[in-house]
Amino acid sequence: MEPSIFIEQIREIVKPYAKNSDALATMNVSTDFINDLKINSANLVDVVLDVEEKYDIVIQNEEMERMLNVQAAMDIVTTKLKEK
Amino acid sequence: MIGNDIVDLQLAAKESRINRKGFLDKLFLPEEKKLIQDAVQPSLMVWLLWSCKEAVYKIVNRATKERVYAPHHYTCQLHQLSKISASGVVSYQSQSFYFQSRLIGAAIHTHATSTAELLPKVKPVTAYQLTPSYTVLLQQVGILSSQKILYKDKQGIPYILDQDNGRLVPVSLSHHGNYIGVAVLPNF
Repeated sequence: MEPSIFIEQIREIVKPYAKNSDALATMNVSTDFINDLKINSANLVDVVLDVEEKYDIVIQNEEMERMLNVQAAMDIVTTKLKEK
Repeated sequence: MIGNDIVDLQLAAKESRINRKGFLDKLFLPEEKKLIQDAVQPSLMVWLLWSCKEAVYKIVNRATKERVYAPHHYTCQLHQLSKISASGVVSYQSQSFYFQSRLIGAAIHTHATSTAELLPKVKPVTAYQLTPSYTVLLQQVGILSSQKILYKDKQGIPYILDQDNGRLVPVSLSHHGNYIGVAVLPNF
């Protein structure tokens, strides 16, 4: 998947949870969900669930453990979509 | 070592849909989900257990400096539960951590320690502030002063720095909504 396309899609997903709108607007692959976007840690699970729904994939706990930034989310989604 | 976590219950109710499919499955283990199901107020139990996991995660993160989103690695067991307080043990990788939670206003504040002996010695401070500020709160309760300031290391781990002698004392900070929670080691 093109990073630019993924970034646009993930931006829509995290929008309801992100508390830092500047970081949301300038999101890139290294954007951290918690440190940069200021997403509450209890809402990170919503990001994981929304990503699962959007791409119709299942994210295992071991994969969720490192899903802390855009790059990690993109890697997980890309791998899962290839497995389909 | 110490950790603490605070949950603003009104904000949590707005921010999270705990009944959405998969939510509880990803955050909680089967025995914890049973506690939630059987609770008089399931949502209160959700945030109690969550705050325990978060408080202990802060202890682990302090030691390992590793950031990992793995709530399923933290197993909560309640040893005491009343309408306003709870205590128990959180297991993480065969290590036990001890916690004490209190319902204060519309918030749950949990502090945790790496040994059972340390738990009653920790000083938890809870506050409701319109403009949340750790510095203001810690000054109000006398933990910070002209020579004692809040200091964060490169990893963002907080300490109280005594500028007179350079001594660093661990402090755990937590903020959610209008609530602030702090836990300080004794003899700061």
